[in-house]
Amino acid sequence: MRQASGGSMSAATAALVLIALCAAAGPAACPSASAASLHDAIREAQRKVVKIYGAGGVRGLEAYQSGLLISSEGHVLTVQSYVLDTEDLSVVLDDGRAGSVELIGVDPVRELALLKLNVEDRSLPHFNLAAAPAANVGDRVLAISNLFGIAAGDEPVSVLQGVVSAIAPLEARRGAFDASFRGNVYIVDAAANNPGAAGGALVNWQGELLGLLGKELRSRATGAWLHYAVPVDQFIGAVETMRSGRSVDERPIAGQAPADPLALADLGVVLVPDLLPRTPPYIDSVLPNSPAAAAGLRPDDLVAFVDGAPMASCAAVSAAVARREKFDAVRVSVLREGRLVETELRAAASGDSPSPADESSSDAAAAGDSAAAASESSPGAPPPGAAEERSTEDDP
Amino acid sequence: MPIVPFVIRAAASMLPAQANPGPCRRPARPQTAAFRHAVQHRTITRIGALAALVAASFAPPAPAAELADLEQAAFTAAVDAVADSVVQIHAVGGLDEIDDQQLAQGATTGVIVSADGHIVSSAFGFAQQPTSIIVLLADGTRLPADLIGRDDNRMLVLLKVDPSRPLRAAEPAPLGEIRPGDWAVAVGRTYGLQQPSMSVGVISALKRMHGRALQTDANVSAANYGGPLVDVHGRVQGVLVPMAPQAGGAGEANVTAGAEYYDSGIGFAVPLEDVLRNLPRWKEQKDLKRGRLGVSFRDGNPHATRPVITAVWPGSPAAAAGWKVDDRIVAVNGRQVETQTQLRFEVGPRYAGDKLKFTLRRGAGADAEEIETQITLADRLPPFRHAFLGVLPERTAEAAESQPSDDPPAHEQSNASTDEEDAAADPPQDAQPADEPASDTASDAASGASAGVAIGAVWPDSPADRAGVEAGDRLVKLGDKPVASADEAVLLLNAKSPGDQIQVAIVRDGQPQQFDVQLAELPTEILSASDLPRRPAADEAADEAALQELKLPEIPQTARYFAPPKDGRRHGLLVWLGPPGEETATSRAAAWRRICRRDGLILLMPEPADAAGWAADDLEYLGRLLQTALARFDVDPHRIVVAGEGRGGQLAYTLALAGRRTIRGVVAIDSPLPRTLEVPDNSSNERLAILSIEAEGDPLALLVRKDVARLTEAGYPVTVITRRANSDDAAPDSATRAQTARWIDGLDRF
Repeated sequence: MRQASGGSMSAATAALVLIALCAAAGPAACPSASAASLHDAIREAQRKVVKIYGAGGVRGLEAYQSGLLISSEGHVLTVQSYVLDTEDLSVVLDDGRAGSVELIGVDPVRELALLKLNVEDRSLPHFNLAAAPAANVGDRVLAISNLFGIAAGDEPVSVLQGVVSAIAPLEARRGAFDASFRGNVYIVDAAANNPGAAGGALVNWQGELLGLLGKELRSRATGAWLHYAVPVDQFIGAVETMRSGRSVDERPIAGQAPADPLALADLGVVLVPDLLPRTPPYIDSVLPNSPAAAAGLRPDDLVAFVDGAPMASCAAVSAAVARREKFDAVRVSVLREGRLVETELRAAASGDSPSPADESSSDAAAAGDSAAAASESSPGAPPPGAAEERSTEDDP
Repeated sequence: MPIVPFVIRAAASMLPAQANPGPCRRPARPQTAAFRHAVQHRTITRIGALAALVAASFAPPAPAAELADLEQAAFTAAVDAVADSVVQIHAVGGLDEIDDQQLAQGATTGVIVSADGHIVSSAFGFAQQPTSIIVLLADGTRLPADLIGRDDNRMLVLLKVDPSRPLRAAEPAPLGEIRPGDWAVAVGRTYGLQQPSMSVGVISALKRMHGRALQTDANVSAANYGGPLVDVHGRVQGVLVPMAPQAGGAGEANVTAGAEYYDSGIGFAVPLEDVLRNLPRWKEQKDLKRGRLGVSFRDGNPHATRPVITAVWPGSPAAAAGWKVDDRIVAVNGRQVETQTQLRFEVGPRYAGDKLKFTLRRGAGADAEEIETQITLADRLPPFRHAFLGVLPERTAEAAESQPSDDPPAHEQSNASTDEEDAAADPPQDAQPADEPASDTASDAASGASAGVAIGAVWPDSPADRAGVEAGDRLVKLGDKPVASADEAVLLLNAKSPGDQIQVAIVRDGQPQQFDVQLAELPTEILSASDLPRRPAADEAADEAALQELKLPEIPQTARYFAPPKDGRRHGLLVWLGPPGEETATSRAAAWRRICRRDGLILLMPEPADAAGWAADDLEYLGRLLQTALARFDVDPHRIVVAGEGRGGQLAYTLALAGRRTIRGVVAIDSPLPRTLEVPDNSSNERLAILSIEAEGDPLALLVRKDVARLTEAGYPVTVITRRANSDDAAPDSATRAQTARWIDGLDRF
């Protein structure tokens, strides 16, 4: 609304200023009247967003959503949802033409679906996924969708404006369930993700597609409803797969579970009993002759970070450690008497006896070094976890 | 259109920032096409600006393309400029949720306010009372932090880290320069450490929340609470916080209040200039508290009602300064205040310990004098306790008939409306209608047989009892004020405190008599039946008429009620929040029917929306139901009681503490207070009494006892009775019912 009003300020004034500028700076540098081009960009993008009607209609479950035309022959990309769960699915184009569609493929991880519109027209307006740019935090964006199903027939879909607030991993939940997609998304400050908006477009002020508006989700970090879009580069591959008729059977991108996960006991750390949902991760005791003892950890130390990630509870520490392979080194930062103490722990190799007689007397640094040396000299390729560790050393 | 001017102003204020690289460091980051575009055309803009300055001595409205791109570049430059002063904060340990409310799990944001490591954040991120706090600086440095103190007036916390090098403190935007319509960018560092998040809006208003906060339409949520709201130069306008209007009472400040309005177009930020001004004392005092006066004001619309004092808390700053009932506050620090709202704007932003000059107007008409006093605001007041004379007014048909005209709300409203008219008139009049009868009129009244208040019973061992007042006497004067009704007597006593001496004039057998009494505190014991001889003979005729139903439009729930036949008395209202189901209503009604008929009580039994039982969602329904019931039945305003069993009792507490103006009693059976409930202090104009019923050997009893102590501490008269534990059923046995009935019957004591 702001930019529209700003843009439409007295055409006469704008023209005058333009003339003044062109006179001052020369015609080559004279910008085009962007008020007109913004309107054109919006209109152009609206033509590429479709209204989808399907199953639902009962309380709290709307029977409509939005979709993007991504090919001239009528491929429609949208979110996978209960709305598509019907034989009687219909799509209405910007010009009011309605048609039936068939479901070509789904991506269960990103919760996407590819539809094909049954039309003769081979020259439909569409977004070119391959040419989609990336956006930065602070970029002005437009969210274009049929939110609340407010547009019908040949009415253009709605346009909201805002900026990209953040680019961050989607850590979200729907009710009590975590969303399966964990990749980076554009978080925007427009109220972009309301009922019916899912499947709509996030575009820049030139009308170029940046991302697909997702389903309504709450942030796990803040508990607030998120307004976000999945960037094109996060789904372009999956769309190609769906379009070629193959199914996307990629597992959640959360990362592979380690084959032989590390446990706190391997490091010799015993935390206080985990009684509360957020029990502070204080060290209860340190096993003698363990890596933790060698690194100088003590009872009553509070585990603040594991590999640079902040730890809010005992459960978080156990989970963070369990994401590591047994042979990985783990950086543990503890809070002791108001100071942060950094340590690096590595579990003894599986062949080793838990109480090597001569190493127990050596000091912490020496023990750490020898453990590291042992793993580096181990046969075969270096453990991939360790390599990653080095490269992200400075990364908080 | 007001929009165009602000766009122009934003453009104008941006130009120097663009021309001067000062605060807008631009780090190497991927440049968008739009930004490159902006850079390419910066030269043109400057030339254009010069051209326009020559032409019109005014920054030009740049062409829209320029403007849009420049604006976008300015937003990111503003965020870059402040980024080093924005930190991420991690709380370790603490609570997971408060009651049913899940607390945010993620990081929160803070603003560096001093080079030596002071950081301000929103109290919202610290609601869980973390055991340890870690701060991550923009460059990734991790530092343990100490929580120095809280500010419960502006919902902030102050942290301190010990950095190895000086930190970059945020630069404040001068408060005097901030105007509605200015760009405002809300910045957070919650999602990730590398890059702050941002939301763009404008300043919507200044001096919101009684002068404590700026308002913005940028998205404000847990993603940026504690972060800065910055102008296009990256100067910090304020620190983002959730905020909601505060209840007048004491009690713990609710730091999560207002968070439900996240991302809604209404966000708040505490001006950084205000924070910095208070920083030295904040460091020294550790906790900053809201400042309190210790007075209550006349009822009525606060925007139109004069700040006329109706009670002065004993031991409060106001009492120490010699303030008196009926004084009117006319100025604070030399600034005129006409209404209670204006007064709140003057006092609301202050802290305990602040000294303020108050000008009072005492007396009416030609005798009025202006008094200058100085007050040091207190952080806590001793809770108000009502004074007790020890009489129960006779509850007769005539008394009931005469009541409507003396009804306290009606009385107060008439005062309020007089004041509104006063506001227009000049000079204002301070005389209250209650003061108008001259003393000779009073003595006329005293001689009449029906003058004053008929005393139905005297509370044993009360001040009245010890002075020799007897049932059948008529109370005609308290101090030098004539008393025409029980409500007038209560109003007069509301301005007194336990321990005060007062002269009581009565008429006995046509003869005036006077006693000097020392007022006591409201009693918490329950009288025996023989001490409550005011009732007409109990009608033992048993009728088994079916319960009647009360339904609200558009609400599926049914409330069932039993109303005794009309007998000329105004009936009390007992709202009973029991388990759901018609059977329980029928059995409750069967148990209470005889008492209802004898004491003139309407028993109203609503049911929860969810068959699982009462939930906080039912509060709105109950509020509406109560209003409907009060409109339908001619209810005795002194005997409106809400009772509940278990969870229903918790709801009864919530309902009664929120509706103290209407509700006079709450009966809680096996119910502790809801955990999230802020217990407001007892207030002079409201007379809420509490009856807590606990089962013998109930495991909850310990919790309930703690809450009883909390309510007593807040100044409420709390009566505790123990009932026999009969399995799981919370329905009171007959002895408990009888005690409850006598407690309700004594609620109109004064």
